[in-house]
Amino acid sequence: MTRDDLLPVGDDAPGLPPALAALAVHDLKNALGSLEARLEVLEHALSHDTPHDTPQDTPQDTREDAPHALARDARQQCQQLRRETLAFLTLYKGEALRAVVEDESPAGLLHALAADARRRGVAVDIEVCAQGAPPFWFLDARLVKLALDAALDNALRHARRQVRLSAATESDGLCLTVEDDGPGVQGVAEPGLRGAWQTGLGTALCRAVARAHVRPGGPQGTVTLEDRPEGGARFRLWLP
Amino acid sequence: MTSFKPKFADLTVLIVDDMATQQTTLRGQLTMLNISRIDCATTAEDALRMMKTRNYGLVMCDYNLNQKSDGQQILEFLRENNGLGAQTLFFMVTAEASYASVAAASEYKPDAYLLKPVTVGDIEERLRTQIEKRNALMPAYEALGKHDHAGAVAACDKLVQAGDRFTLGALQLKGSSLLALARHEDASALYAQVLKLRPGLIWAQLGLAKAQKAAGNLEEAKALVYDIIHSKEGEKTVEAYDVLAACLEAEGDSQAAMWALRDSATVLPSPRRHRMVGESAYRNGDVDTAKECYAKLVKGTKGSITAQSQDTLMLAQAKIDSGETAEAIAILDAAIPNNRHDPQFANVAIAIKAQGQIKLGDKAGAEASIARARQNMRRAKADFSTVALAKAELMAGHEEEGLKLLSGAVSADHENPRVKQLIGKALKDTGREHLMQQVVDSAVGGLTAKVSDARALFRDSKIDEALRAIETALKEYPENTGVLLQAAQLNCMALRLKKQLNATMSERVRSYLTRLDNLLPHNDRVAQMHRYYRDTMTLLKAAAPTSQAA
Repeated sequence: MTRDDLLPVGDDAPGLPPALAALAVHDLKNALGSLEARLEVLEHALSHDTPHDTPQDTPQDTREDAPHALARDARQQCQQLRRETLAFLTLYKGEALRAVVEDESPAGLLHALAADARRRGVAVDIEVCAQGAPPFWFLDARLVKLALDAALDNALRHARRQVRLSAATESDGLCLTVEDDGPGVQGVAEPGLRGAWQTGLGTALCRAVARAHVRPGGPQGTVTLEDRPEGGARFRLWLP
Repeated sequence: MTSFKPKFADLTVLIVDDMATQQTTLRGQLTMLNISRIDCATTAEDALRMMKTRNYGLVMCDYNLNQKSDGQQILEFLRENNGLGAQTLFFMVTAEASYASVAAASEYKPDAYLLKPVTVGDIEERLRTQIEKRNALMPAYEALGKHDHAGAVAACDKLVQAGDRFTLGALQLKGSSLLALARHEDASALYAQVLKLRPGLIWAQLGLAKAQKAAGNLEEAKALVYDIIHSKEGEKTVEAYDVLAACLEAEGDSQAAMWALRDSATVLPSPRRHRMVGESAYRNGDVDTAKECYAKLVKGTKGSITAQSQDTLMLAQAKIDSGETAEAIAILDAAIPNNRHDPQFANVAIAIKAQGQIKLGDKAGAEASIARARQNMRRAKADFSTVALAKAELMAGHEEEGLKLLSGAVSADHENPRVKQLIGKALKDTGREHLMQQVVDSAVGGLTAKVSDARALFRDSKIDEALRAIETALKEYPENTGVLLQAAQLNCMALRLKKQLNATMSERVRSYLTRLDNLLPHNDRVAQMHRYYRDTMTLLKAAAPTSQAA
């Protein structure tokens, strides 16, 4: 990973040394994580045992300030913070990212990602299309999930009705795609939007995850974000 | 792909975590997955006790328990003591920061790692994947449970043919089964095929090295091992050091083998590793290294599930050998009351103590100790405790008794070079190095003659006489693995010749195999004999009068 990928917190930045800063952020992330897990349980307890995997919960009380809705909002906010902290931490550990690859199911990965997003409660439809995917591929599931999570989060924020996750073999590699039917890349390039993607953190993270995947003696992974001809944006993570 | 949702409701889960809040959170998250049968343990000891009384489908264990034993040690303990059945999944819960180091350098991998903060989605996804994987590989696991490596290979072949998600898992299992069957060339071909699919895959490289080692290609095996430990991905693969040590030992350089093990203990300073180094150092006469290892072990494992009383005995023996006699006796005297529940401990401790008493000039005390130790020594075994008593006898001037015990130890397992090393050291320490050949001859001479007599009878078609002869040999050397293997083989051959299912004979073979499993766990020759017996039974059943076989 080159220095270009990093935000300006170089060696000459004032204050805490990078390693110590990373430790502090790490503690912060863990604290957010345990808070999030507890909010998750609280939200579940307040929503009258609605099955957890129902896409749209239909609790009895639909007011926005109902206890379970408040718990859900708190959990979602907490989750967002935790994910951004994790992305930040993954990039700023002070050493290049290294993928620990194992044979993983691309289809399983996408289904889990979609299930997680549905559980968080999303307004749009998430479609998973993995017919063209190989049964297994060598990848670091933890890193790839982190990257796709950021991409999916971005897509969900801009989508109108649908987000599509797909996996397929392409140029001797695995191509994982996240598409939305929103305004497209050009349409949201304006500053002022919040979230990891807009600060550049999401892009930097995905690029680092892609580069961490190298086939011994072969090419590195790549990332692209482009407009779809039919409208909307398409994020592609290609892994060798 | 349609999303596959096994029901988790019938799963029984054990949470091992020292933090009450984390326990509550995990419990809540599992409840969200419709899991209601959940137990919690706070310490390693509690966890192990609960696992004895109840069968858990999943153990979720925190890596950092803030106690003497951590999650990795629990996992090691369970795997080494067969405490985890094929039906139990073990998930390790770790903080991100420790994950990389824990995952890279561990000999026993959990079924999955869950990184904190754990979400319901993580648990569900890992559970689903691992249950699917376990179900897919179950036929192979079941065959392995019956020592049926050939059956495991067949089950794996089916999975590989299907070419689905678990192809790699099946190939990995098939590779290790081929190695167990001593089919080195097939194993090599399989690993080469996997490495073509994914160059640099550590388990395949390691498998290839093992296959080369087993085939006797030591140079190739060593080169492969060096490739692994010099790579960024493989530098912490302790098993690679084991293969290296085995190669060096096969070349006769046991000193270098010990250093390879020492390196592995630097990479992964686990009790098990320190034990391997200590044991190897002691055999090789490097008493200082042995002493250092066992001192570290005794101190480091105190109060933990990883503690083993044998470490104290080895420490005392190493101290006696290096002249720290009074200290060694003090260690033994303190340890004996603490190990009251283990009579074997006291016997060995007294034998070692006798050596110390002789060194201190306490002849009467030593004689009393030896008399006590003798009383409890039922039969010479190929182990440290027999050699410890033999050494005390030799030091006390009871040459005949000492040598008898040592040749008993050799004949118990005459193909075991490590026991011979131990015996060699005991003879050297007592100034009787020149008697080694005599000890070996007196142990093996009679034995080989008896076995070849039995084989000669068999060749002359005097089958019943041959079986009687080998049975007599076995009565004399009941724990000699060589004789047991011969006895199993002769009985199988007799069954095949007589072409009928003889319950007494097949029962006999089964009991030999059980004894062999205990004496030589995970041994190639024993695995092959299991297979030969199974093939024999299959043949006889197929030829039974009721079948239509030609």
